[in-house]
Amino acid sequence: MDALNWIFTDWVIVAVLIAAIVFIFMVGGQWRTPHHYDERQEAIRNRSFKYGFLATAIAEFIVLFVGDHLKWPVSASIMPLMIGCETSIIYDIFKRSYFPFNQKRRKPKAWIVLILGVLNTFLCLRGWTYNSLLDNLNSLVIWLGFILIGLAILYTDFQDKRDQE
Amino acid sequence: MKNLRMKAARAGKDWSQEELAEKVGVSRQTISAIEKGNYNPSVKLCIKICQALGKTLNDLFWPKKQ
Repeated sequence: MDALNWIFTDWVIVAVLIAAIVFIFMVGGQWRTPHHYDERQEAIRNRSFKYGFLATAIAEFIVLFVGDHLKWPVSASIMPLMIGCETSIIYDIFKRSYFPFNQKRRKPKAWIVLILGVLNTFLCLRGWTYNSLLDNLNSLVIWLGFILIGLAILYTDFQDKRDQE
Repeated sequence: MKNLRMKAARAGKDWSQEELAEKVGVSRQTISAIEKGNYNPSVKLCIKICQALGKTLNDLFWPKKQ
């Protein structure tokens, strides 16, 4: 009976959490500052969320099999989320839909992300001598993602400039 | 299918893609995608573009008879 009570309590907590999240998204949207994406960007961003979700699902499926062999399996659960986010962001960048159309000063942001990525990837690779490969893979995915995002912004900016000339 | 009529109308006004984008309220890449035929704009956006360029929907977006 006690076990049943616990399971019931878990379900109630999960249900309340989901309801709260949905409520925040529905009500919070009214006070959100308006973004400046045009209709093409909105359509692409919606598609990128779908691809990001798919990437998360695939990565989660892989981690399901690899997770048991990791020293810190909990940290591995972050990896699929990061892969999903990075997929979505990089897709948006290449389709010119990551930044709102009136946003300026993209280059400094790209350089900050790129430098953070390079520094931390270096630290990750150095850490491989102390930790196992799979555990560091988690942070490597995150920081390599930063490098890819930074490079993608710089590359698309360069292409856009050439396209304009 | 490339939208050369829109490109010609824009060039006729001596506007860059950036300028037209600013007037219409979209990104330059969206104007570029429409001109290249990579994106089909909504009717709302078509109307905005026509108003900015001083053309009708027929002039810019209606397919010509072969």
